[in-house]
Amino acid sequence: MALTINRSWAGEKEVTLILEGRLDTTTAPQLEKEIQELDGITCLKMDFEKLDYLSSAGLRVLLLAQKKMNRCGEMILNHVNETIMEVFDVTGFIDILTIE
Amino acid sequence: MKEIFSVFRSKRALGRMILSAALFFVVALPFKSLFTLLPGVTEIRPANMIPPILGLYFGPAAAWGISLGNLVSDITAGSGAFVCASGFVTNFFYAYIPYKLWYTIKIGKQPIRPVQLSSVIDIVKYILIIFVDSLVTTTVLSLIFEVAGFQAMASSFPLLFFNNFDFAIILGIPVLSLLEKYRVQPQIPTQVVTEAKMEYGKWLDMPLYVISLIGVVYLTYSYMNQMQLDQMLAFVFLCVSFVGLLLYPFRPFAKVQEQEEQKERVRISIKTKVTIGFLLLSVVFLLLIGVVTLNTLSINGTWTRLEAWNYLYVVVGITINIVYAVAIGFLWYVEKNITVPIERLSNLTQIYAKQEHDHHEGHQELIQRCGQVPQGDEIGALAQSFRKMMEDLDDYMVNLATITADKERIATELNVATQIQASMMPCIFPAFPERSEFDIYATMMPAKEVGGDFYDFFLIDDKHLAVVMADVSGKGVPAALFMVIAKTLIKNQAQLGHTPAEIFTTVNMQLCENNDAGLFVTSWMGILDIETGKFTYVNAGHNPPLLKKSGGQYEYLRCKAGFVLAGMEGIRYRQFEMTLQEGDMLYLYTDGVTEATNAENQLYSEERLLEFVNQHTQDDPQSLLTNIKQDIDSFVGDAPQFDDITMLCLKIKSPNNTQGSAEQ
Repeated sequence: MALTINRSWAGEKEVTLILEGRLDTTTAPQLEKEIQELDGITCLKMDFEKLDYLSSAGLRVLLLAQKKMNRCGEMILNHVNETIMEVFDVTGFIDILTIE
Repeated sequence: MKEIFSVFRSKRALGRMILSAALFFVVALPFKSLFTLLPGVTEIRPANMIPPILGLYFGPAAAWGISLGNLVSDITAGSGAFVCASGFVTNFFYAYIPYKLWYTIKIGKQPIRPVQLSSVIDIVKYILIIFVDSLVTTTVLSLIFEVAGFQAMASSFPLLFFNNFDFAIILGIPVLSLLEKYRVQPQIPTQVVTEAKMEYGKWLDMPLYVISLIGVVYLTYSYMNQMQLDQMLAFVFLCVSFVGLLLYPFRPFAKVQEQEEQKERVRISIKTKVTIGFLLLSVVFLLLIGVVTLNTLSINGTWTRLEAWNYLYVVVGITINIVYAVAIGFLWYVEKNITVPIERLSNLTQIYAKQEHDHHEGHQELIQRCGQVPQGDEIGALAQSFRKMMEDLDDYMVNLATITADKERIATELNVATQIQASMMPCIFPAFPERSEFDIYATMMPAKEVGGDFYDFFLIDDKHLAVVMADVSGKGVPAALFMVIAKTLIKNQAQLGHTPAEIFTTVNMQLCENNDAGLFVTSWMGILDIETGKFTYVNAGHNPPLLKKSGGQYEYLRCKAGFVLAGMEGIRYRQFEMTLQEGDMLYLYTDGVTEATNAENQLYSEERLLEFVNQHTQDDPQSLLTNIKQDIDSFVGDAPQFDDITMLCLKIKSPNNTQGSAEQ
């Protein structure tokens, strides 16, 4: 099962990535590349509504994204479901991420 | 010479002889009664194509057969003894000469091969042979008629000549192609002669030249003078001719090149197909010309039959030459530009396909030969493409060898790396045989060659045991390298005697220093005071362990988790405390356990794990881990293992006893 990423722009500086599928070792590089390509934005939103699974490799990319956005704006996660919220909770990510 | 008589010793040759005789007789008979041109002597004879063709194919066997067939035919027709005898000799040589000529004369550089019509040179040779054969035979026959007083040479010569020549060419070609198609093996001379004998043997071609010369000169002479040859002179010539003919069998054969080894997958070559197809087309055309001419003649009724047939044969004979000249020109063009290049290319590809591809000897030569195929048309393009393909394939083979070697080297290195990684973790059990206060067991199964999970346990001093369980984000070599750093740092810090929270705070700082790859480690660590049973632990984003108090059930040991190690600088970790007693069990694991996935994409889950361990509360650490692993395997089934599966189990046996003995 793969990962689908859809971009949705709101103005020039704000973008929402809608993730669908699994974010694991095989698909994490896909998101990493996507985030690397986003330059000069001040607000990165991610919609996790359709994200089924998040592995530690996925967490790594989220951490990289968070660090990147810390320098130039903010990163917000939307619609995080219960399972993934538990992952954030267990790993302590809940403290460093902005979850709405 | 010997070969002529060896016919009677071979069953096959005898069979062919009888077949020739029968065939000649059967074909000759109906025409004899239907179309008599010269009463008692000759007719329209499609049978005339039989001697040269069968002779060419079957050699002396056919010569004997045909002369016998003719003899029977002559006797039934009531011919005189002279006609019968001379007819016998003439027909014998009529069949024998083509065979001899085919295997003695060379045209161009082409070696002498068994009879076939597969190239322009073959056809030219065939026509030439039929021409010489018809000329010689006609001369001898005409002389016989002169001597017997049947007919003036001039009047019958063209008729006889073209009768022989036309039929042999028109009907000979389809018959030869049929014989070839049904793979009838031609008779090949086996006689071997020395080079010197060969040189001298060439003089024995003279009889044919002499007879031909007599024929041509006397035909011209009698035409111009419109008179019969002097019978005496004719008789002399006939004698000379007969002597010549009788000498001819002594002419030694040239060396015949063995049948080329049959090319794979080629039954009839393109060259042969084109040649035969075009010749057959020419034959149809010639027959049409013949029919049209015959039709015109029957309207014009003033000519005698002899004159009419003479005219017909001459017309057809001349047309043959014109048609064949065109045909041969065309075939030569096709052969040079299409069939020969295709044949060469086909040969090259076949040689290449058969070669070993892992070494290149000979390839260069093939590539070069491919370049020699004429350029500018589709065949040239094909040759170029093939050449490019050969070159590319060679390059690929070289690359592939390098890549394979590289891959093997990497595989070997990874293998070593796996061993190093495995040996970095304590893996000899029982780990502390001298310590009876606790029992510990751990396993790790990496998903790839090297993994990012690790466990660790060690005695900080006599009283303190540390246990660590950790999971580096990601897998493979990067994760393994990071794991080595993390493990080493944690152990170093622990051995300085710090508390778990202090250890993680320092290690996190150190790991953050140079972490460009953005890897991080989830980790859980606890330090047990063996004497008091006090257990201090800290969690950096790791899965909660399972704890079973003596006599109770397993439960998740949840605490407020700190952030993962190496994730963010300046994190301060909080540690928690509890007391462990005899019979307590602590089970540590990584997410490879709870997130093992089956083919339906279901996770093994914390619930299932909890349920399973609670069914095995009596297990000691080793059998517990073995049972859990088995349950995971049966859950996952055939689905691939996504993540490393790492587990550690600690059982407290009798801390109080130790404490007691220490106090004493």
